Amino acid sequence: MAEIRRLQQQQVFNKPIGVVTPSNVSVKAGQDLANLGTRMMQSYFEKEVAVQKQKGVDAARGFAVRDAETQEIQFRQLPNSLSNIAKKEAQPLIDKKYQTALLADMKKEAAKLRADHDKDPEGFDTAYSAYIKKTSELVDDRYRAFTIDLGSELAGQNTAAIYADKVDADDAADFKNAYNLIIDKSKEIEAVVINGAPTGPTSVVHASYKNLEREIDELVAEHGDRLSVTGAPELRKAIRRQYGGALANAVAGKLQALPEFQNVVNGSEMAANVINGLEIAYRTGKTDDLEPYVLQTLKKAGFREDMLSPDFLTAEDRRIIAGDISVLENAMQEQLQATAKQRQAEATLITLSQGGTASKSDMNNVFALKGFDTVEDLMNRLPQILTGKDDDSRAIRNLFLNNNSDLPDVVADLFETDNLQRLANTGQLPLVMDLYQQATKRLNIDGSGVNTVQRGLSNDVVVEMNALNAYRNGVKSASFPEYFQRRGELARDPQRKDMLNMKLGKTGTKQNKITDFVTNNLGSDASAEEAAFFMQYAEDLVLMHGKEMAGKILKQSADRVFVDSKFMIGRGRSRFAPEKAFPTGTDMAVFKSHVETVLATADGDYTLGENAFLLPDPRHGSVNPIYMLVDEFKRPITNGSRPLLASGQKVIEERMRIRKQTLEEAREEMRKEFQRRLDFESRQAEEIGSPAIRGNLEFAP
Amino acid sequence: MNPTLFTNPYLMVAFAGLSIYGTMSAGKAEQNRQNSIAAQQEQNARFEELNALQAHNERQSRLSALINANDTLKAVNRRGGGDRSAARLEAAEKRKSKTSDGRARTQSMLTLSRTRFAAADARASGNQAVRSALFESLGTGLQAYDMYKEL
Repeated sequence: MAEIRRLQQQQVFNKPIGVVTPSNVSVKAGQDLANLGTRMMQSYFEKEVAVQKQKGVDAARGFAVRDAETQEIQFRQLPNSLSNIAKKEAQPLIDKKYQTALLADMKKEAAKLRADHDKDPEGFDTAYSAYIKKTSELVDDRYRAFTIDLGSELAGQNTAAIYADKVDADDAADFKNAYNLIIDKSKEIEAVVINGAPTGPTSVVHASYKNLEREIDELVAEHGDRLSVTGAPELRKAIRRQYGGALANAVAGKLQALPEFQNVVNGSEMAANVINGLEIAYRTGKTDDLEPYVLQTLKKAGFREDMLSPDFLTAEDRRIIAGDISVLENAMQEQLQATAKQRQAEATLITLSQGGTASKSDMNNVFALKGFDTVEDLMNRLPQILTGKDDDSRAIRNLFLNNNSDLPDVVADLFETDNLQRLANTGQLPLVMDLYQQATKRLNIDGSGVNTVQRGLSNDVVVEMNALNAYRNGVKSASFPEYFQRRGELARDPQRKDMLNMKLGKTGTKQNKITDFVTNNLGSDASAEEAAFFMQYAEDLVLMHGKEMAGKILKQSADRVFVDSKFMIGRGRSRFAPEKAFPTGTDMAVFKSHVETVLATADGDYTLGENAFLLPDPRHGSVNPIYMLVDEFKRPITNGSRPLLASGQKVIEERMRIRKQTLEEAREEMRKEFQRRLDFESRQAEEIGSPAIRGNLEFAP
Repeated sequence: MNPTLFTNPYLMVAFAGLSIYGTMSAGKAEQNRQNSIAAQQEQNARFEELNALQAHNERQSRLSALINANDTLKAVNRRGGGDRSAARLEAAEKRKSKTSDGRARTQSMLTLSRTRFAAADARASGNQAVRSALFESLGTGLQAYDMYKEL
């Protein structure tokens, strides 16, 4: 049988085909984008954080914790406009500022309270605790804990320090007391020794000295830390030297008191020689070189060889003590010289008071002893010397007033131009002119007139002083100091002569002379005395004011400075005429009455203006002149051997009585009246003249 | 920090937004990717069903063919339904077929279940990725707000 073949088929089924994993690129892209955003966000944040931190720092820097005016701490908050980060950055810095300010204030208060409670730790602690409590209540909450903690720390520190200071101060005071006690005791011992107490080895003084050495040991033991390395040895040395020096001084003192040295002529010199021996003994440390007499005398005065013992004094100690003795010796020599000068000066003053004369060197000696070493010394005391009624002033006045020899150097120096300039500036120039007049003018007692003595002054000085005096007593268009200053400038001007000729002018082709100018302006009735007087300063007047003004000044001077007098000897014009000095009827009546009273005592019958006349003493000026009464032959009218004098003293006394003035006020008023009469009468002169300055100068024209 | 950048707190906010956008994009992309995987797994499940059906039909077909062949043989051999040996053989074949069906059904169910689980898991992962991105974005936003507040 045939077999039919059948299809051998492979079974086919639909099966799962697995899973294709999708790409995760999109996921990664998203993640990368997120990462980018995150990083950028972080980056910008960090950047902004840095900016905000800087803002915080800046804000803190500009944050003032104290009030600008009161300087008190003010607690304020950071501005809300600041970010949190800025605030966080700024706050610690501001905290630091507040803490620093609080620290400063609390330290300051601690220092103040510490000063108030010096050496009182309990008092400080109480006061400072109260301060801390009050401060902690006032401060911001943020700083309260800090304030309390800091306050406690400061309180502790300062209290401990005050306590330490107190202990140290007590110790220092104890040391100082002990130290000073030793010094004081040493001085006491020195004083006792110098006063002559016994100083032998068994004496109380010596025991006291030894006791001092023991006290120094105790001082070193107790307060050694307060003494420097050399402190104790130096103290011992000082005490020893003081004691040794006192022993030497005691010997020197006793020496001077020994009877053999009391001779006023050479006693001191002899004592000085023996003291020189004492110095040699101390300098060499032995007495072998001394003469027996010297050594014997020294021992008589208490000297002992053991005073030089090396066990007691070192060579340096001895040399120092010898130096002190040398000083004493020199002082004795100086004293000897000073005594000699003193005696010489006393002799000079006695000679002068008895009408004798003294040499320039004698007067220099007196001036030096009276303390006038420089011209400034004299300037400073000039008013007192010229007007004082004390013995010293009278004695000094005698030196240059009642004596014709050369003036002492310091007086002569006064008249140097530079010094006159300084005196003019201080208003003392009139005083010096008075001094010059009185030192150089002499009224001859025989009635022959006035004699001038040059007193060793140079011709230039004499010319200058005379010119000043003439101007002072003439009509003035400028104040005296102004004239003086201007005159000084003109004197130094090299063109002076040319300027003078130019101002005087010419008559035709002939140069006008100053003598012609004076003669023409004074008038025909002027005396030779007047011409000579005005010649002294006419050149200066022309140079200063010009020919026209100088002419007017001279004319006025001629009329007012020189006045016709029927009482003056010679009956001519005089600048000392009583009619000029006492122009009012009352004053003249008083003066005449006074003269008549004086004449009543004369040896003879005299009437003023008939057979009795006035001879002026130029030393006393023309404000209140003093006259010698003379007869028509210029012979002095006397009472016995005494020449009779008349003055305006009675006029002054009458003025004092009527006007209820003091002597000085009356004199001053007379001076002012006199000067007013000498003022140049023109508007210009009134403007130039300074009453204040002129008033200072109107002393005794 | 890049020193060339100028400072501006608003740029910081803008970049925070960019970060959030990126995060959300990444989450969405992950969700899409997981959805794609889930779709494939579901497709696989459907194929598995189809495969199990086809295999079952094949086995039934072969059993039916065997029974038909045996019936033909019995008819040829005049062996009736009372032929005990033929009945026994047929029963044995049916029993064998039933066992295979049971085993195939179990295998298919397990495979199907697993595949569907994978699909569901992928979808869940995608959703979770979106949620994670959302939370991360929220965190970034809060961080940016916190930073901005400090400035």
